[in-house]
Amino acid sequence: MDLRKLKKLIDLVQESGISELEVTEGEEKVRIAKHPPAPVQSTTYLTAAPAPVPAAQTLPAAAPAPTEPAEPEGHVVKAPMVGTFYRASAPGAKPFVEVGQTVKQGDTLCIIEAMKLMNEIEADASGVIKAILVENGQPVEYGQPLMILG
Amino acid sequence: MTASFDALDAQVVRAALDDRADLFRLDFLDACESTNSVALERAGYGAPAGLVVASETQTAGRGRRGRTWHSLAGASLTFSLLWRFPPALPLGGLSLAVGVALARALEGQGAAGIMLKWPNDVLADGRKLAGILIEMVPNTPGATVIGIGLNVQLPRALAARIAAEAIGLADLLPFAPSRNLLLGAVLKELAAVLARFEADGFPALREDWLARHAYAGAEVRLSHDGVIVAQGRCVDVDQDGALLLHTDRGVQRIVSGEVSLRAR
Repeated sequence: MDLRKLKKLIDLVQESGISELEVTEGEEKVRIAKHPPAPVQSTTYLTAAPAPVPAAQTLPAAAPAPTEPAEPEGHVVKAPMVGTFYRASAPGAKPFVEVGQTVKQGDTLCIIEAMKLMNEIEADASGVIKAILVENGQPVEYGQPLMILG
Repeated sequence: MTASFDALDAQVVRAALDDRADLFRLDFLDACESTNSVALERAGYGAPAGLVVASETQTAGRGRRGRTWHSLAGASLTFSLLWRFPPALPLGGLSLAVGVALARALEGQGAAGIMLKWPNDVLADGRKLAGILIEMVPNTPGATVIGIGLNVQLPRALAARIAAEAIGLADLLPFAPSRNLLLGAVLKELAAVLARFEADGFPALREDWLARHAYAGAEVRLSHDGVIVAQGRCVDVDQDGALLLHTDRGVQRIVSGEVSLRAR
């Protein structure tokens, strides 16, 4: 399938009301989806005849999804200081937040301790905790990403 | 030891503060969960700098990392001071500076051999005399609550509850100290030290701290939540209060963790 044909198919999908189009032509199979967040296996792929590399770049709608799961996108909460990262107010206590939890701006996320100065780190945005990037009790550097809010 | 009990009395403390009385607003409670929590809450409502919350008993006194600070009515002096620094002031060495203030006040009462264990435990005779816990007021840069717990008299019942070896100020003096006068003296030193800290930073107080460095030159271990992460000889503290540990891998800057003497 040549690039011009692919482009036409993409334009067709974009202009039409359909969200997904799959075309099989001999050994080649192309699937074009308007809303791309589909799992890796079901995204567009070309079999038998490998498409030229630039095709993936010039035709974003047909580009394969990355094979590795990307780091969750969202608002990154960074360490405002150097110290030790703690997820709870005391050892054995319930952590301030867990992944999946919804937080409001101003909610306490964690504590960073340095020289017995206890700094409660608060959410600088509202959202859902998508990832906690540091282990409890680990040292953190200035500016180090601590959590991701989505 | 007789357990003489002098209740906290704002009038007596104000008299002891003398010309510094205007800097402080004293608020004494019979009981509360923790004076730091009360001070933090009031700071959130906009309480001015100089608020002193003291309590005869704390039901959930906080030590570092949530360790319980044990206290019995009359046996210890537990209070928290709200202080508002300029928002951009680096607060790195603050907890060491507070240790210096506490040591000076205790020495002024006649106690000898007061030493400081990094970052800010106050020791006498190798045992813990006082602890300091500083908490930043959320969302208010520069606003800090300085919590101090000081053993005045250590009754046997209390000593038995404390795992770490502790000592009371009464053990260092020929007489039982008045807690009101003691609080006045500590607040006066804090006013002087915090003003100095604000003007010139920790470097201006560093020599004072080093003169009382309990583990100067000692072989120590550094642990995080009970796990040893470094060991070496501690010699100095940096300009911002970080502990400088001479290890096999060179000098390491330590900003958190528990320092303990290495068994020989």
